[in-house]
Amino acid sequence: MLALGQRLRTNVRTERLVFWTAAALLSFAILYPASMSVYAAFTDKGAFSLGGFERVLRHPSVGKEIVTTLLFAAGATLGATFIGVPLAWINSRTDVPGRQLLEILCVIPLFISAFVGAMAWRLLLVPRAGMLTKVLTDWGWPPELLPDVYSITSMIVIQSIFYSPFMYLYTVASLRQMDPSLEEVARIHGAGQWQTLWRITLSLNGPALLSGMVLVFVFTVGTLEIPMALGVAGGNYVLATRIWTLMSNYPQDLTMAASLGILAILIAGTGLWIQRRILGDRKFTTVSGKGYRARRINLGRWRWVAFGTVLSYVIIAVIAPLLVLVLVGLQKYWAGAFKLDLFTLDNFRSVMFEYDVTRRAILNSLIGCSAAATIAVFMSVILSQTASRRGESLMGLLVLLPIAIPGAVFGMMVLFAFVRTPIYNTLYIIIFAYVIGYFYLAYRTIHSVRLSIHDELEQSARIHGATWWKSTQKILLPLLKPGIFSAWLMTFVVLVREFSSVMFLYRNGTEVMSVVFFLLMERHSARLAAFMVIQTAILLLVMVIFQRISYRNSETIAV
Amino acid sequence: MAKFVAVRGLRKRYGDAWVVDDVSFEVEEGELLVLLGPSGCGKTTTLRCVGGLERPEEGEIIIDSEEVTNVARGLFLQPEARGMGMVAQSYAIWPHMSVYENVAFPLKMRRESNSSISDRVHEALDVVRLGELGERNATDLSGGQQQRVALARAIVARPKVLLFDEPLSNLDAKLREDMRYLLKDIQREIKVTAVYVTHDQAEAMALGDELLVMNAGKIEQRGSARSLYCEPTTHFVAGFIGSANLIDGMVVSEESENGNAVLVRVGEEGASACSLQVLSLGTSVGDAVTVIVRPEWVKINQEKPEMRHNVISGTVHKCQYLGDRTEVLVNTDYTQMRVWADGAATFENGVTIHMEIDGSKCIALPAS
Repeated sequence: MLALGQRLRTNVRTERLVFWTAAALLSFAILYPASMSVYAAFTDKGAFSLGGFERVLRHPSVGKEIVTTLLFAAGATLGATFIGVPLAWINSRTDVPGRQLLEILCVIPLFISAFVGAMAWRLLLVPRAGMLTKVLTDWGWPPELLPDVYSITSMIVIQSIFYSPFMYLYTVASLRQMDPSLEEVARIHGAGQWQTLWRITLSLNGPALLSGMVLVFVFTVGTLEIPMALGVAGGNYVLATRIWTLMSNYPQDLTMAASLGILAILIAGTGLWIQRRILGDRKFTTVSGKGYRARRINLGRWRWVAFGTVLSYVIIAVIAPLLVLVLVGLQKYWAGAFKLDLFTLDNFRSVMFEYDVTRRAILNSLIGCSAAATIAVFMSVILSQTASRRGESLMGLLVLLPIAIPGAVFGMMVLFAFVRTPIYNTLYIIIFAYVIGYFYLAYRTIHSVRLSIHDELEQSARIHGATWWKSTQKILLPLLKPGIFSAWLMTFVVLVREFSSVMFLYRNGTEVMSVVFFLLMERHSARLAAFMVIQTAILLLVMVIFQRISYRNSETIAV
Repeated sequence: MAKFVAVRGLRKRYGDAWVVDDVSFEVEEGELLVLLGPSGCGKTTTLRCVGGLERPEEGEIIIDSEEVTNVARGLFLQPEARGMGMVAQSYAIWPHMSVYENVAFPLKMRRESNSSISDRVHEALDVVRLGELGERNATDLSGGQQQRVALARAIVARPKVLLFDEPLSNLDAKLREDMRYLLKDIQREIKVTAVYVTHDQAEAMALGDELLVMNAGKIEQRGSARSLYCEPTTHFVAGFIGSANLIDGMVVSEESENGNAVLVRVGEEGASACSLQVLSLGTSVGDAVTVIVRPEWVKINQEKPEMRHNVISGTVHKCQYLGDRTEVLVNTDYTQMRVWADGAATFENGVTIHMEIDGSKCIALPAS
């Protein structure tokens, strides 16, 4: 008895040690860059100064840029909601034809970089030379009625399209967890189909939708993708592009950039604050543990309208962009329309095997993202294992902190933190940013799987004499394996897409694929298109693997 | 007089399987009909068809002399147009509304005025003995309270028919019994017509004016709790309602002086055979029959009683003290029997005993 007691105490000590070490490392990795950039915002050449904020106030265009940022982020949030929520509802709750295929297609935009989407739509809609522009004007469509692809409206629309999968996934998950009798009882008690949809379904899932909206809002405040691809050319600067310009153009103004960073965090924080204000501590527990096989709504003739709605989204977000990129990539140079005599495979060959920067970038992306995903998953396993009882809320907060920091600001922070260290200008600094910036993704997936594994399984191993480490190794890890795989793949995909933070961290030699998009942007559209096709192909391949694995998981879990 | 609820020739298919296969029944006004059966027997699907939550493949449903479903004529009234109330298995209390808002919902949908809504909500909450909880958040309530909110919501708009889909199955045993009596009281109090689905036979017998036993999509038998227990017409009903020993035999003679009694020989002709004089439901000499013997219709004797018929001998296989009674498993020449003796009785394993069967209760059914 004594021996057992002693062993359990030692176990508790190892467990605590591992947890606190990991927690300390993680807090340092998050809090150090944050404090360094606050420091940068309030100092000038080592002395306390409010000069940065002063220059923000005096700047001729920053005021307008703040308004643009707010407009862009709020617009994209609403847009993504109006696209994602109906799609989710149609696919998961109605008898729309071909929904199994539609369900897969609707998630594909998550695996396409928004930068890629924006460039593709640029190729389609650019004044005069755009593929679609030409076709439309040939049919007699007046040029002045064509959408201006560089306008703030286009930025919002394209951002909405490529971030709507977040709303889609949040909504689908939330709808799946809802007990369908909540809706049925409303029907029985006199509410029609649409009244039930509004008063019950949407109202009940409101909190989940709001969390999704806040996520899109914060992402949009910090994104450089659409603002770089469309905004700069159209003269629509947002805070992220302004910060990037201040950091990369000569003469640099680090203090002002850091001050603007704080401003961007405040804007993003406003979104989170509004969410808290609306929700308070309300959480609608509609989950009763089981997955529901909700009965689908019979749309009648409207099925085809629903089908057409989903299909047009898929065409706009997936088919048209990918098609135009493939076509452009197969041309010697882009002349505004596909010409057979310009057909060539040279672009694909050169970006893969010949052209130095692109070849290097593919390798850097694969190595950097794999390494970062591995580290993030490894740490998630350790933390979720040790944090399942203790320090839960502390970890939850720490892990979620980077979500509240807009991507571009986060890149800048990491730069401030490591500018005088040996890892500056290496791939390591990018890996660091990847891990810290997206750690929460891996952590969330693994933690939720961890919570579904009963403590008793582990406790019984401990009772039967296994140490903490042994029971982790023999009981927990095998059970977590599917979760580990999907977390790794998910993180990998998001990292390969990541653009906004690495734009601050790459140097000659450490370019990753998304950075090369930017470098090639104004130079060689055919080669750029080919390169984008390659990146998208890699991401879609990972998606296929991911779906295979999660499909198999759902089977094992059902057993 | 036309029945208040009438279901005729109802059929419903999931994939290739007919889960409801030609079901017809009627419910009188103010009556509570229980649909009873094992899981997957089609009782819930039948209820959902009545409520309009499922579209049947065939059949018609009439409520208060109005057709709500008639497949042949392509008529299908949406659930909200049928004027019903429902209590679901999971209570289905809307967590984003207060108790008051939950109960007021059916009235709001009927566009009642605010003052009449308020009066009727409070009246309904009083009926379910939840008078003071109106402003509470619905999710703060206990399971039993949520169940009562669901009931208040179902009755507040004075529905034509009240549907219950296993409403008590999520409650713990003690609460379930209390709720059973409350439900019955309330249904009588407001005199509402109700259809109640359950797989729990004790619940069904306590609640139902009439019970309808279903199995594999079909109706097995309809009747009062007493008639289902004492006069089951099918093997399934005999086995599903209460416990029963099923003893195979053959009718050897009809005893006309004893009403509809028959003499059944059990076992091969010869020394090992015994004879049972029991009630018959439409069997005649030479028929293979199954005799239904309830465990409490048997008296256990140590000495063989002086009777020509109705004695089966055997050895005690196992003896289990259950408080109010002792359950004895007896190995006989024909089958293993389960019988109940007084709680104080004990029997050694392996001892020979003689069971006196009460022939005025046991029934012979045609063998399946």
